[in-house]
Amino acid sequence: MFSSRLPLPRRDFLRLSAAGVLSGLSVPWFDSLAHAARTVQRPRGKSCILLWMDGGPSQQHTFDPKPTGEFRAASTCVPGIQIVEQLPQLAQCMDDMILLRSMKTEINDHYDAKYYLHTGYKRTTAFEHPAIGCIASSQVGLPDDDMPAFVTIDAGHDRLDGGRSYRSVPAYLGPQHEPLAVHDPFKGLENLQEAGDDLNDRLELLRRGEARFAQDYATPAVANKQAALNRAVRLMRSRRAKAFDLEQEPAGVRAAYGAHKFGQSCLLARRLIESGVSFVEVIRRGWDDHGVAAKNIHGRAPWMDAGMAALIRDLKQRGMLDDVLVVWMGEFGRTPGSGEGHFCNAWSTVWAGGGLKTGQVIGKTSDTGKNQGGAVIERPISAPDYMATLCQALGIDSHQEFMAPGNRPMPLVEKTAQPIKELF
Amino acid sequence: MSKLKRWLPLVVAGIALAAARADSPPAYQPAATADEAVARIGKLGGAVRRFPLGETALEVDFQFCGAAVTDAHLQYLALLKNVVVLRLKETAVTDDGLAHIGKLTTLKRLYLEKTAITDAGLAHLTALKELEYLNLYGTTVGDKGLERLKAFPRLKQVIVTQTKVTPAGIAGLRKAAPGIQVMPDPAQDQQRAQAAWDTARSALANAETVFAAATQEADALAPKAAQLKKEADEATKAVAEAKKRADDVRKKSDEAGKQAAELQAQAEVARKQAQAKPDDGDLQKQAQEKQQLAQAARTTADDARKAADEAQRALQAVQSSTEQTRQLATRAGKAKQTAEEAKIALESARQLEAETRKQVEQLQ
Amino acid sequence: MKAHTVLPCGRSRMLFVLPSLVVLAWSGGGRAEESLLERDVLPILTKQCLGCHGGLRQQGKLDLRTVPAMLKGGKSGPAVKSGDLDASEMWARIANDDMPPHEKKLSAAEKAAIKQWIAAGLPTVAQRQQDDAPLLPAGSKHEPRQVAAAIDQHLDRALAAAKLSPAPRADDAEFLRRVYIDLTGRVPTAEQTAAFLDDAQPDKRVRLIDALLASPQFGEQFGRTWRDWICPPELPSDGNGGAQPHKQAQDLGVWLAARFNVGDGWNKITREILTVEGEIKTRPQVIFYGLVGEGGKATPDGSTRAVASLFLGVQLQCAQCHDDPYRSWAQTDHWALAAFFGKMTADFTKVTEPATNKGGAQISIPKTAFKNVGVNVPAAFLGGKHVAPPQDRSLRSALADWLTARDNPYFARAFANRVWFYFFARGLVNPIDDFRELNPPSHPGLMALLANEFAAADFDVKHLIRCVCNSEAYQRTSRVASGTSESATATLTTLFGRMPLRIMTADMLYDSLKLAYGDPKLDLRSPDTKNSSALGQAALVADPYLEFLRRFGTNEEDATDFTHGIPQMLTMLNHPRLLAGSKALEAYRKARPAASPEQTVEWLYLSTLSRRPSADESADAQRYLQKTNDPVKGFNGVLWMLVNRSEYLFVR
Repeated sequence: MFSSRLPLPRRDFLRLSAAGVLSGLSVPWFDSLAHAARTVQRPRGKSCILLWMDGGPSQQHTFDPKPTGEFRAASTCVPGIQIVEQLPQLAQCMDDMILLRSMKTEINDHYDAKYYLHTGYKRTTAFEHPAIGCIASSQVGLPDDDMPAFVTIDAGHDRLDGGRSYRSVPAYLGPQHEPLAVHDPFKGLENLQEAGDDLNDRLELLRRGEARFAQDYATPAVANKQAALNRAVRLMRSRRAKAFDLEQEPAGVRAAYGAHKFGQSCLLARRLIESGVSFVEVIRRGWDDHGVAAKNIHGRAPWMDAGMAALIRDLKQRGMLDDVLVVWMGEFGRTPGSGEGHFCNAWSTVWAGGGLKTGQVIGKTSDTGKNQGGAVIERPISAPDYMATLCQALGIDSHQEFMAPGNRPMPLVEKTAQPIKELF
Repeated sequence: MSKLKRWLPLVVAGIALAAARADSPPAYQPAATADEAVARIGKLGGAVRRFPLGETALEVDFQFCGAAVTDAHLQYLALLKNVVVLRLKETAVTDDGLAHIGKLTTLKRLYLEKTAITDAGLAHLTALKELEYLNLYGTTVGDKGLERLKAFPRLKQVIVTQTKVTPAGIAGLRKAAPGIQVMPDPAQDQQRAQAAWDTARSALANAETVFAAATQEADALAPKAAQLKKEADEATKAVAEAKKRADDVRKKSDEAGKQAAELQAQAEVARKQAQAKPDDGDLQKQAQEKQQLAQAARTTADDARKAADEAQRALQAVQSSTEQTRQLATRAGKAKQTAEEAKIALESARQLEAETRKQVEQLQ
Repeated sequence: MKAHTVLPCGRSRMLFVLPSLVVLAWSGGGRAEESLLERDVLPILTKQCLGCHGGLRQQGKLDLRTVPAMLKGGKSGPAVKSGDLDASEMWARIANDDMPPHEKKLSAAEKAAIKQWIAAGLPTVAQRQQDDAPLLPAGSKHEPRQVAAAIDQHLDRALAAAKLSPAPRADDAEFLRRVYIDLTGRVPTAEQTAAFLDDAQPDKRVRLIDALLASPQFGEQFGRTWRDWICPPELPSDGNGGAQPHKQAQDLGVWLAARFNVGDGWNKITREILTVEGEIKTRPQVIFYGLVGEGGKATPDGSTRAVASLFLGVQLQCAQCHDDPYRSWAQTDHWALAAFFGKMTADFTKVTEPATNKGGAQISIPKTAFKNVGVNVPAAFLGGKHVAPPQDRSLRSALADWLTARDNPYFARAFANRVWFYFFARGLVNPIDDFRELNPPSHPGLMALLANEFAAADFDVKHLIRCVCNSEAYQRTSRVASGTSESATATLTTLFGRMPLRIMTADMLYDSLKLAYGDPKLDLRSPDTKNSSALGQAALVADPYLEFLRRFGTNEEDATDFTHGIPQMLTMLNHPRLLAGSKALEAYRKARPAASPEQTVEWLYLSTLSRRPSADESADAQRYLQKTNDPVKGFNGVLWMLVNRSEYLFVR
């Protein structure tokens, strides 16, 4: 399974950030060697907040209620669209939302499904595929920016899931697109705080040694390493890194999102997007409710409703909603009824904002007879189609190809995938 | 000439420079060409990007430059063609800067969040006939400034959250230019909060009803659960017995019926024989006897059948009442759990009602 | 786990360049202006033509993968005629843009290359390569010194033909650190460094190589290198909730380490892996088969792919579903080899196979293939006619016999190429598992020399490595003076006239840090997650070693490619553990209470950068120490600075 690739890394080593930042001062304003900013750049693309409900949330207990279901339906602010009555605030955001009710994604195993819905490809042992967050970082992340392009936030859990946890990997896009992890939204980014109190002095000591080494070993790899170090220091020193600190947000806003981990994670996500992060994945574990969906989702509805509605409203009121796509989803749904098992044949995901045609429902599941919701009756959406749509919504060219191990050219999304045109 | 050779001295120089210079942003230096303007914008920390609208549309993004971008720097924009989006969030732009922006007649989207512009500055923008979107979040713009926006023919979206604009001002703008979507929309916010609260209240009412019923049932049945189960088990046993009995009686009835039919047949034979020989006294007597026997058997059979039917009816009655008892027993057994789940649902509904009520109250 | 990277965004067109040959213009493999088959023409054909005229499909019955096939032609007759453009139908169709039929036509440059090639008589790189004699007779083992000299002869000849002079010899410090890291996977201690630097004997480098090869850390480093080559990036698991066999993979590394240390021949080791039977508890190499299948169960095609790539040096995976579209492998080649794995049952926990092989060996092409589903393919060795495997032994045993025979054409050179790749960050054949006629080595004579020597020495791993390390080529500097042209540097490096500057793998970095901090349990996980149980996201960072490997993984395919980003840099800069002091330093200061600050700083330099500080560096450090006014804090700061230096992370 080993194979090597081109011997000369085609890295444009001119993409250096300011080389002398190791002086430890805040962002210096001298002749930057940032080649990228000196010419007209590619279009920006949209940012994305992915609310990943790990474990498979029950669609009948959330966004696709049925007459025979355990939860009752209630109206929303869009006539003709109903969701469960347990999500009243979200119901009033419906004109900015899109319900994709006809997800049909073939895989009922946790890990394989998480992989499939993050990458658009089925898992193999030959090589890894990049996750959507890493794709976004690579394609629409702000090049050579202080802030990382992809951040994941652990929004807590109320029970352990079955199956392995999935972690987004950049695979053949390069490790620089690995997500930064915030393990605790109340504590901020790992290792962002300086250890010790004399960082400036130590950086100065470091800088002097680095200069000599760069003279004697003047290669792109060394330049890249120094650039990476510079970027890390810039991030530490950057005004924008304060985005990681929830304490900076006014108490009123924090209260609006709710005093729970999910709400505060949504707030942190908004702050990060505002400060230039392109893709934030908020991960909430514990939705794998075998047969007890009603009971558990009763417990979750208050914080999910408050947090997600607050996020959508806040983005809208700041004028950000057109530039930010909010995605709510898990790796599959649950069996109609009490949510006994995993169900990939007919389940729901929800989008909001992103400048798309919101206030509509895509697809339909069966709603008569005995097994209501047991099948998709209109417009099924496969995982590759979903991924293609997501890429298009974010402004990513999903046909772009990268070389996977084995010298195999891989497009970002399968070539046969069809995006959902009704959204654009 | 290799790139390495070119940049390495700069690396070293940059190091020295950085140590020497303080962090003062580059002052405005006029640019001569569009390319130079783009480069200088880059040096400020901004970016010029293609905008996906037609072939040549540009987006200029200063939103992470902070105080480095001043009014003077906006003059670079004059050299760029077809600037469609301009982002100036949190920069040091003031009303004077708006004068430069006012010349960008191709501008469609303008972002001025948290800048020091005022109502007066908006007057500079009147030439922006293409403007569709204007974001004034966190500025000191007030109703006077909002008035000026009536003059923009294509304006579709305005953000005035966290400004000095009043609801009256918003209403006024809406009335004068109904095509403009103004954010925030206090009226809509209130209406939606109310609608959410209504939904939550209705859900709460339902949850209360369900909970009351479930609790009642639990209170009534749960203590009896064991008893009911016993009853149900006994009833089930009774059903089994009744069935057995009914089966026995049915069997007897069938036999009696068969017997009667047989005797009837014999009587018929005897009667025919007697009819054929009217003089034979014995045959007449036999026929009569047979006739009597047949009749007696028929009566017995009828009685037996009636008994069987009764037994069947009795069985059915027992079965249905047992079914009821069994269902009751099941309900009793689950009553506690059902009540607990109803309690959880009620708790959740209460929280949702409180949350949505809070939203309504905050907006008043 | 590992990072597999490729071209960064925006520069990633589907480009199927055959990398051995990129720089062959300078190696005597043809002049730059010439158009040669493997170097210039094949990449174009691969990109534009072989999709329809290759192994997958042959439109018009035309196969363009090899010259004989082109000469044979298809429905319209021969595609090319040597030296005759007018009679070359392929040229005619390309010239007037009939072909390729889709919108993306050949560029002017591409057409010129093909035109020139046909007109010049279909020249190939192989014809132009002058260096194909190994210089030492095959069949017998030689002294390492002799072999090293022959290696240098090969390389110097190619450099001379390219009119390049090799880089000067690395100084002792540069060499010392490099050979320690390469052969033992960690930097030398301060004491080891000082001993070597101060040794005045002229043969100290030779003795050092011998000593390191004899140390147990050699096996550890080489074992985990092979472990990483064997393990796929996405370790399978046995089912949905199952754990991945990380521990078992590590056990495999430990098992390999023991084999390498003891000096088992590579043939013996390979045989033990391939023919393993039994439980994983007693036979760690069982995991080899667990890793090549689906859901932890070995499949014949998975096994074939792995064995071909790792032990034969060929890529057969594209020939699984159909004939390889771009290479000459036929589907039957793949399945004939797969037939040897047809009777085996293997998963994570054990491997079994019938001990004897009655009734022949063949395999039926499964439904997962595109073509020829259901066809029975009899077992055959690669490149050989099909041969009835012996009845008295298992199939895999028969395969192992063939594979590890001295005269097997694939086995020795595949390993030798990997060893070369390991030290020089670039194989003689690239990709390193893509040996075939149309991808010749950059130095064919050298490749033959190494393969012959390895086979003649009964596949003695240490012997081969000893030969390579004793060459001048391995002991050259990797310095690049600022101001040098990048392309000149690249050329010199690809011709092995200069050692590359490589990044330490995660294992090397971890072990070196452990030494520097005197802490075998060095833990750089987030303090938040360290003490949590396996709940939530913390489950993902449960094991310090695995977490370190994942975070500091490097580009396995190019050791000169720096790929770390902000998470890695932030960890090195700000993780409290790296500023909290070193037990090794404490022990040093305790043992030498009279040591001056200068001496302590020197000791720190010796134990991290493996050299003494320059006068400037020493002065800088003293200045810093004086400012800090607290010796413990000061020395900790100096140590922090040293492990954050580029020089620390790179292998010079």
